[in-house]
Amino acid sequence: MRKFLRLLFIFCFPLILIIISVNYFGDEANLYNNKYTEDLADAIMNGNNVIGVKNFNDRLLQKYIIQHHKTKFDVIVIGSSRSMLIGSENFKNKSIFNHSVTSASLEDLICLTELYESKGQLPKTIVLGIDPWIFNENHKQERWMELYEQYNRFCERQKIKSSTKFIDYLNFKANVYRELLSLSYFQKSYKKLIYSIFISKNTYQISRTLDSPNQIKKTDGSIQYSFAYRKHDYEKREIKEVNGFKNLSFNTYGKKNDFIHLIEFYKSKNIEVVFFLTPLSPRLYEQIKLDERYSFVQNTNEFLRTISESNSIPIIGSFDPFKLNLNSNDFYDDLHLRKESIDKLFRSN
Amino acid sequence: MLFNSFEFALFLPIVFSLYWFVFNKNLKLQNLFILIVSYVFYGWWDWRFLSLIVFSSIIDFVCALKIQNSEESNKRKVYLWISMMVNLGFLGVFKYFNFFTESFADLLKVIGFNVNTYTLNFILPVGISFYTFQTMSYTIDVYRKQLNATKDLIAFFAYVSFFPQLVAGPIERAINLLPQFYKPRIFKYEDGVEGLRLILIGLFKKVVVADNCATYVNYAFENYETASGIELILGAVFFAFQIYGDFSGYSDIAIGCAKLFGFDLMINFRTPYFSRDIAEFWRRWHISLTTWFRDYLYIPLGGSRVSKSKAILNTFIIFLVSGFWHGANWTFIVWGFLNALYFVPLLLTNKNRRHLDTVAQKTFLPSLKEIAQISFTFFITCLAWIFFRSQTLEQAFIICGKIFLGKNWVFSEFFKIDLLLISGVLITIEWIGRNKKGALGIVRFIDKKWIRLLFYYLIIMSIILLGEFSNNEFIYFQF
Repeated sequence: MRKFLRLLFIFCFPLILIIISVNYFGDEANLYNNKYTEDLADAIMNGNNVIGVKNFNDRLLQKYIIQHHKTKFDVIVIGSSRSMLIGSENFKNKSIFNHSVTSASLEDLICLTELYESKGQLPKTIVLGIDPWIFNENHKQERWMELYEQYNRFCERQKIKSSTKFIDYLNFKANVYRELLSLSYFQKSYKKLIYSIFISKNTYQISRTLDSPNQIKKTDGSIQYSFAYRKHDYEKREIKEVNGFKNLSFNTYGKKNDFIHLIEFYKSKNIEVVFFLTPLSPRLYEQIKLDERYSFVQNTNEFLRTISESNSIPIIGSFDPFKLNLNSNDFYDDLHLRKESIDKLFRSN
Repeated sequence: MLFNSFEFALFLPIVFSLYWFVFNKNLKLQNLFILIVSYVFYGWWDWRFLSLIVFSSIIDFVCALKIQNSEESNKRKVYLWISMMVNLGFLGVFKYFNFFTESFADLLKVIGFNVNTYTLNFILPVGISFYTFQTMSYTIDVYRKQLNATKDLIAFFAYVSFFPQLVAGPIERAINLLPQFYKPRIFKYEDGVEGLRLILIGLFKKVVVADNCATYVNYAFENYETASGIELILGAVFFAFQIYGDFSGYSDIAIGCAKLFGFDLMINFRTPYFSRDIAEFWRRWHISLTTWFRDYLYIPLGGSRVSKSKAILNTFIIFLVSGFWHGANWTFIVWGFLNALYFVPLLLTNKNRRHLDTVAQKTFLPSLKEIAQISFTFFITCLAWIFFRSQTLEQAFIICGKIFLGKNWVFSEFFKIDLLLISGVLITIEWIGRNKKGALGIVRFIDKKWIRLLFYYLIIMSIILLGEFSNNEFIYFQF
């Protein structure tokens, strides 16, 4: 048995060490390297556009920017990737920053708000990019837990029940460190490690212009998609159900109360709120509008209109593309509206 | 939990340590430990599945004892039938109920009757086809007086639920596995090393070969209407590698894991794609299932000791049942039918027991004749695999039509040369080690220890660098 255990040790120990080291130092998704995100934030705050950036911690980036940015913004945008294209060109003569994060949940809106509240620099106007599934309790997104502390602080102050237990947060953190042993993470990280040793530490470039075929994170926090993505043929993209629709326990809206608390908070601070509802593509909307499983889309639309009327909150857009006279040419894919069409919506409002 | 998962990577060393260092002093305790961890392993998918396996185990344990203790032939038969009905009943309800009702409704539709079908909304319990066959073999062997019924409840339950082979085989006979629970297991270094070798090659076959082939196979079969003939041929060929890598990989890991705990399981695959005819193929593919059908169905029907026409009929019965065992779909039945059809010429010419040795046993390379035989056998096997993989008969026929009659011979961008290289590596490893016992027989040719270690490291690195880790389940879990 001793000989066998020795053999196991000889094989396993170096391998585990190599895997952990490569995953930690290669760190393809920058899970363990905050400096990458901080450098990125510094570049943006210094008035640069960042080209070709990927695999960074969206929430930590926003946190760093909010905590270190010197001037107060007139307008901020908080939402998911569906509102990431809203930029300074949509608000003339106003300072604006887009804090939208991928797969944003309601907790993200709360956390980002709390970051501003903690700094004492809440803006005059907040544009909330709201997705149809945002109130569904089974929309299990965990990335907001990067800002767990902010979420808890908001809940304590507003006296609302937290949607998440501390054990879930610990589990979230454990999953991050679990990636140290992940073989799929190793497959990506070793390539990045080789790149950073022989080519460049940063996988992105900074520029003062928007002249690049790659995806750009602009200095106002919004993004410009890559040339290839902007030009692709939408019709050829297969319609797909997306995470927001899958595995939902249909017609549950447990998070609506939290949203109402958030709106009341904004009111108490005299912040002007704007709801931005990105439409779904016509072909997706046609598919789901009569399907009972997706009635939450209509339900959320109506709920937001009720809140808007009772609180005098303007709404830009709608989940229903037909109400906005949009067609397939207005979309990059079934969930994301083209920049030109977003600009049109803002101009008409 | 899957063998190629993080959970299992934690589970195995913990169970190994407790098994050999904590529970090794007492055999009954050790068996009980095996039973508990096996239930944890199985319940990881869905704890509700446990109720079925426990119930099945209880029924077969009691029935076997009753059979053993009864002198009257009729009473013995009754208990045997109770065991069979319970096990087959589970299969019938969970696996085949919807198939029968929908097929019956389709048949009525053909003759002009439209009926509403009632289908059951059951999740198919993982591995149900495997452990029900395993327990049935126990009661049948007791009935045949080939085995004494055990009074050791824990040993029997542990035999039924033994985690390495519970969900996808090998389907172990009680004669082989059950006695291993009666005697103390002693850890042997050679068994431990062989176990690790088997796990290593099993993982290579699964995550490197099978899961990488799966990406192309899924593309070809999902886009069969627009794919070219050559793409579909490659789809069929890579599916042959996928299912072999998946299934034999799982068996290797199962046998390897069992070895780590001092158990010997039966070999389930013996380089089947080097077979020179279909009869040899079926002596080398999924051996535990084919021998099960041979011993409990084919031989009781008379086997081949009957007239030619009856032998052919028996062959068709076996393969149709085997096809049906694989899944509740007409595609599996046609797959079985095709394999039976391939057998007919061999039966008629008494050539079904020609190739009992391994190909090119005395030479390194096969002869031209052997190459032709292997290629032809592989070709007809792939043809049958098209039906096995297709979702519907219509899809399978369209694919066959495009392969044989299609004019479009364009390669797609989706095809990657890596797949050919990976498959080539597997074929090379298997070819070189074909005459050697044990896993990775190729290493038996390497004298120097450091070269062997380097070879193992190469396999490990290829698993880490080339493996597909997006949690593709093993194909045979659906059975």
